[in-house]
Amino acid sequence: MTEVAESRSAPWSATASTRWSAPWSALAPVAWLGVFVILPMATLLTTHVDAADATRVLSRASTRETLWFSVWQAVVSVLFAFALATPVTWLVGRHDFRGRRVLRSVASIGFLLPSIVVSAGFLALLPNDLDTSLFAVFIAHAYFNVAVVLRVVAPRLESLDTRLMWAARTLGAGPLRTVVSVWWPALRGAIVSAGAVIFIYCFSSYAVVRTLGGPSRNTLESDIAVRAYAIGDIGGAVVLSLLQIATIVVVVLLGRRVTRDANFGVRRTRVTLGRLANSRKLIARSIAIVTVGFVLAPLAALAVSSLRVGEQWSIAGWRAVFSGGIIGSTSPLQALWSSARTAFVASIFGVVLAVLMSHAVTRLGTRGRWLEVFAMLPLAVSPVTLGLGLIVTFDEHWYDWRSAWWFVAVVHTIVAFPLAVRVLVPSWRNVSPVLRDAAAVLGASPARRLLDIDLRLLRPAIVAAIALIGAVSLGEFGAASMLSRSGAETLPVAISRLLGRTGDVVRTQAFVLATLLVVACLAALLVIDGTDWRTRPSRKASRARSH
Amino acid sequence: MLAVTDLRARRGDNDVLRGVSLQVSRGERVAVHGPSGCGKTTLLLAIAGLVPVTSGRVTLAGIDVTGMPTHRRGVGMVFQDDQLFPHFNVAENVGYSLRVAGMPKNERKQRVEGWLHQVGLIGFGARSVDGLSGGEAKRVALARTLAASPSVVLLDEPLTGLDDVLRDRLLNDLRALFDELQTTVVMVTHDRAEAAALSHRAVEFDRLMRD
Repeated sequence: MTEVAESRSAPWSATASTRWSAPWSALAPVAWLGVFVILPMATLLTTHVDAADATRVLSRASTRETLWFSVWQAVVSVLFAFALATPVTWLVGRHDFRGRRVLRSVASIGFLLPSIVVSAGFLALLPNDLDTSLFAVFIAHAYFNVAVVLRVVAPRLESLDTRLMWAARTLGAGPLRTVVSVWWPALRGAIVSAGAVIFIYCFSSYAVVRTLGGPSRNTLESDIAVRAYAIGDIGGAVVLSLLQIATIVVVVLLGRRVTRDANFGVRRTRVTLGRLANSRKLIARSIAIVTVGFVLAPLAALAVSSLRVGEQWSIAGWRAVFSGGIIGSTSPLQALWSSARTAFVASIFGVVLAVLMSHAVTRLGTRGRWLEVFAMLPLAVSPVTLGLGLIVTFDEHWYDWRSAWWFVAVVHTIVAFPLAVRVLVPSWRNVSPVLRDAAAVLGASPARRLLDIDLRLLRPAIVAAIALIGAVSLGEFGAASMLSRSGAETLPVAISRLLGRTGDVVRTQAFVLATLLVVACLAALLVIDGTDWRTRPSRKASRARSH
Repeated sequence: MLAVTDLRARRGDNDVLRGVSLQVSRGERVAVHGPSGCGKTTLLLAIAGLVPVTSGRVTLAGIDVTGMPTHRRGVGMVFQDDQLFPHFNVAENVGYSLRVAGMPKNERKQRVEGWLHQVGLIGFGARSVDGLSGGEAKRVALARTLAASPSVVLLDEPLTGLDDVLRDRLLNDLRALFDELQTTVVMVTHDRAEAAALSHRAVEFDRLMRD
């Protein structure tokens, strides 16, 4: 290692001269999370719940039933997701073929689509006797999470050291023994991580269960919403929220325990994947067709249903939407405008906060790692609980913001914040500090270095973060359904309202709005996938570090 | 021109610079050589203000710059790995210091073309830096540094990583360019031959240290 490279790892590089700004840049996002996450949660816990609420709710049989349903439907959903994702994960993870990247992108579409849109898609796709059933819930949950399995397990599969398998075979292990003794230990970490993420997602499912589960099925999340908003039992809702958080914490801890020593067999370098053997091409094509078909079918069903009223082909739904038909007190056009406005404001505020936070995270060493954990705080609180906390906290005097349209945007910045930070932090870490040194000796001040080096190199990641926050905001349903006020409902809330009403044209309008939302989210997805936000270090920057 | 007096710097528990002193006259080229890891690069970084020093002094043209931030020192440095900005093309890299200084675009363009001509890279302005060979990248890094009109140029292992033919050609070009511009240079290298070929005076790194 040369002296330059050594000096980069020491805390005394030119970047030390810009470190003064890091704690200051953390101020705004930390204050934001403090005011809009910690304060509402503290308000809920200190003023709206007591021991009697806990005893009342936890001793009730219906709570145990809801908890049990939340758990087992999540477990079955995990199995569904793995069953659907395993073939495509094997194909993408172990083979190189034309269209591999496209297949991976298409198979990942589901994860970024709004839950209400996917629910509407399966409502449109499935026959009447299945469209509000447990099967519909499982298949919709699997739809979102094929991407999780693919994106978490396939990279591990890609880097699996085939020599270990050869070694096992030459030592006398049969195919099954090789799988048990080599494949499983190497993949265990990724599989358990993906399973835990999917479990948590399905366990706290709201829009899917509410739309496809039928009136009698509730997860803890949907029960929280019912209890808080329909019944007005805020104490009970808070107890259920705590129960939900406790379950999630247990799953996270269990997952961490299982994956603790799970890096066996993984090469550090990228391996060259084998070309598809001719004998496997037919299987590969079948897997690709089934996967793409599965992903696109609900979206196509939405588009088709938006052109049908009852049994007839008609553009009445589209006409009704654009002529300003009314859903409650909001017209579809108003909902479109409301969603666009909310997504725009959330993206701008969210990306500024995420850039500030990721700057602090990457410049503060060990303290930065704690800050990164803090930035993930919104992931621990469900949007419904967050919405509830905000409603009971900001409800009087000058800070009664419950009816302000921008309040929904505030919540969306919080919901999307951890994801945006996750996008920005690795990209920022990839910026070679020696480039800042080079700019400094050319006369660039700390502010100029930040603008010309960091933010310029970070540009693709910033664009991806904006698109990601926009997509999350466009599709977010849980908090928006709590906070959207009459006359300013967002698209997902409007879609949900329309789906809950009777009448063919009304239902078609829901499919029209869902189709529009799909188009908007796919546009955002194209931006995210199109920008190489991971900002790979340049050839020369890599060389600097490799010395 | 450049005076380094009893400079000390620590890295962790190790004293990397232990009372280093060095005098360089205007237009002089001094090569500091020594084995890898002895602290040569740290000396350059300390002169540029890129690492903090625990004691000692750096003066440039009689002005004490020890506590001055890097961007105000007027010291140029060519890094061992060039450190060209990957998001800028060749011309933008070369003209970066001029842009920072607020030079109008037309004038900047002329200056950049002039520097590219000086280092033998006419017509390279619009190229991406990722497509450059090792020798070309080194020339761009040099042009970028010289365009800033620094009072002293610091070169960190300027010829490392180049093949023999490129190395000899670049060595001759550098010598001619520095002679023409009367550039004050401090270079560090582990290669005695390189040190002798490019400098007016070569010194052993250990000899610069008091302790």
